Amino acid sequence: MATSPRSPPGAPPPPEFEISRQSRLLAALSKKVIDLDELRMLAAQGVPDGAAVRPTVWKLLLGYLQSDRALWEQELAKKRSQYAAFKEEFLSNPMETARRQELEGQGSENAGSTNNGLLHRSEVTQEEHPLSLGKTSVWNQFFEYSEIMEQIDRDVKRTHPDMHFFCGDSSFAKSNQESLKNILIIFAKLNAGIRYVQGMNEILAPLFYVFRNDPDDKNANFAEADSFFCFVELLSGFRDNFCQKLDNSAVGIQGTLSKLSQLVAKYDGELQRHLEITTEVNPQFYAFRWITLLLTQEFNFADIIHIWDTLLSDPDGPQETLLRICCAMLILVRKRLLVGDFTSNLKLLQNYPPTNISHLLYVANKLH
Amino acid sequence: MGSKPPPPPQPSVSFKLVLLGDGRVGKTSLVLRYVNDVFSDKQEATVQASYLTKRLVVEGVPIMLSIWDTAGQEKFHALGPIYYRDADAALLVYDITDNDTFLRVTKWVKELKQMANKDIVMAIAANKSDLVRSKHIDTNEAASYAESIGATLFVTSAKAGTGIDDIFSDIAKRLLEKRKNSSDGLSLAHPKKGILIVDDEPEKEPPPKCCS
Repeated sequence: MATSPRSPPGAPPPPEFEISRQSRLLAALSKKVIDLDELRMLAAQGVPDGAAVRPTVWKLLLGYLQSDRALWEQELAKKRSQYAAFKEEFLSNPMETARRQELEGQGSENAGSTNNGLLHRSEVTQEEHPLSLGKTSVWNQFFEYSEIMEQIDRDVKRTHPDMHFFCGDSSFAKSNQESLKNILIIFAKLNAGIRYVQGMNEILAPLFYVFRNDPDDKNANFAEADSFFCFVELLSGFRDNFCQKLDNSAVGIQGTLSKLSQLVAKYDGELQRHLEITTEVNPQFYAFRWITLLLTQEFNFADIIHIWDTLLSDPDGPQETLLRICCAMLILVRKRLLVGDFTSNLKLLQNYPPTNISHLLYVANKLH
Repeated sequence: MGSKPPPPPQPSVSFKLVLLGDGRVGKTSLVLRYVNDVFSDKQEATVQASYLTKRLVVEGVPIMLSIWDTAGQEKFHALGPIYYRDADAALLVYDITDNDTFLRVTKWVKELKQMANKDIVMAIAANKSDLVRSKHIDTNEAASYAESIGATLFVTSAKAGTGIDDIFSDIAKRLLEKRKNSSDGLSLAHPKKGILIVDDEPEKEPPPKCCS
C-alpha cells in the first residue's frame, strides 16, 4: 500500500510552537508592507484564536486589504462608502424612493434649481406607475426581485440555527441576519447571471462572523460592508460551482468532482476503486456539498473557521486546497469505507464524524 | 460481520424512492419526521440530496426503502436525473399554502414521464396542512390531478406529524403489489443497483403496517 499515506496521530502542537507561530504572525502583520507569501505560509497552519488578528489576516488573504498598511485607511473608507451607495441604490423600496424623490423635488423647487431628472409626485409617468410593466419601472424591478428576496430571507433565518450569533430573538441576532440579507440581495442584484443560489448564505456566514467579532469596534461596525467585498472576492475564484450552465463543464461542479476522484485515485487507488466501482458511491452524492459549501455544513463552527484559515491561504483560490482536504477526509475514514457497502459508506460520508481538524489539515497538506 | 443477536428480519424487498418538489416545501422535514420522528422549523436548506433508509413491514413482508431527499432549488435541478432515473417511486411534495409549488409538481411529473421508469409509482403530499386554519382543506383540484396521473394524494404536516406514515405505507403497498404482479415475482426479487439491504445503524422495528 505505498499509495496510502501513513501519518502519526494528530497531536496538538506544543504550546511553545503555538506561541512562536503567534508571534511570527504578529511580526508579519506589523511590517509596513506585509509580505503576503509569508503571511499565507503562516496562516495556512491556522491563525491562533488568541491573537485577535483573524479579521485582518482574512482581509489580506482575500485581497481586500493591500499589503501596504499605509493605504488601508483610505482604501477601507472608499470601499465602505461604496457599499453604502449600493445599499442606497439596491435596498430602498420604491415607496421610499418615491417619497424621497418627492421631497427632493420640493427641495429643488424651493431652491429654484433644476431637479436632476428626479420626478415630482405630480409628474409620475405611465412608466413609473406601480402597475406599469415597463422594464425600467422601479416597481417592475422591485417585483422581479421580491421572490429572490423572500428566498434569501428564509435561508438567512435558517443559517446556523443553533448559534445565538445568527439566530434567536436577540436584537444582535436580528441585526446580524439583516446584514447577511443585505449582502446577499446586493450581490444578487449586481450579479444578474447568478443572482442567489442556496448555499451562498453558508459561505457568507463565516466571513461575517469573523469580521463582526473584530475586537476593533470600528471594523466590527463595518463588518457588513467588509464582508460584502470579501464574499465577492471569495466567490470570484469559485462561482463556477454555483453556475448551472457550467455544471457539466470542466470548470463547473462536475469537473471539480472528477478532479477529486482523480486525486483520491492518485493517493489511494484502492479506496477510490472500492468507493466508486465496488460500492458505486458517486462523489456527487457526498462531495457536492463539501465543495459548494466549502465544508461549512460538515463540521462545527470553530472547526470551520480553522479550516478556512488554510483554505483562504491558498494563493490560487480555495479550490486546490479544498480538494486536498476532501481527499484527506476520505483517507481518514478509509478503514471504515473499505469494509462498507453503498448504504453505510454514503451515510458515513453524508454525516462525516467529528474529527481532529489539525490532523485532517496535516494529512491534506501531505497530498501535495 | 459476526452474528448480532437478535438477528433482525432481513428485508427481502427493497425499493428506491425519491422526494421531489420546490424549495422549502418541506421535503426534508417530511422525510426526517418519517425516518427519525423529529421536526425542526429551522431546517437548513438542502443543497445536496440526502440518503436515508427506512425499514417497514407491509402485509407481513419486510421492506427496505432507500430514500433520496433531493434539493429543491431550481439551480440544482440539472443534477436531479441521477436520483430519479432508476427510482421505483416518487413522492412529490408541495406547500398547500403556495399554489406555485403545486405547479412545480406538475412540471416534475412531466419530467418523470419522459425520463424515469415507465411504471414509477407516484404519490403527492400536500404538505404544511398545519398552516391552514379552516377545518376543511380544499384539495379537489390536486386530487383530480393526482387521479389523472395515477398518483395518490395525501394531506400531510411534518410539523404535526400527520399523514406521513400513511403516504409512505401507501407507496410501499403499491410497490409491493406491483412487484408481486410483475413477472419475476417476489421470490426473484433482485436488489436494484446501488441498493443494499445492510444497515449498521440500530433501528427500531416499526410496527407492522397492515390494514385492509
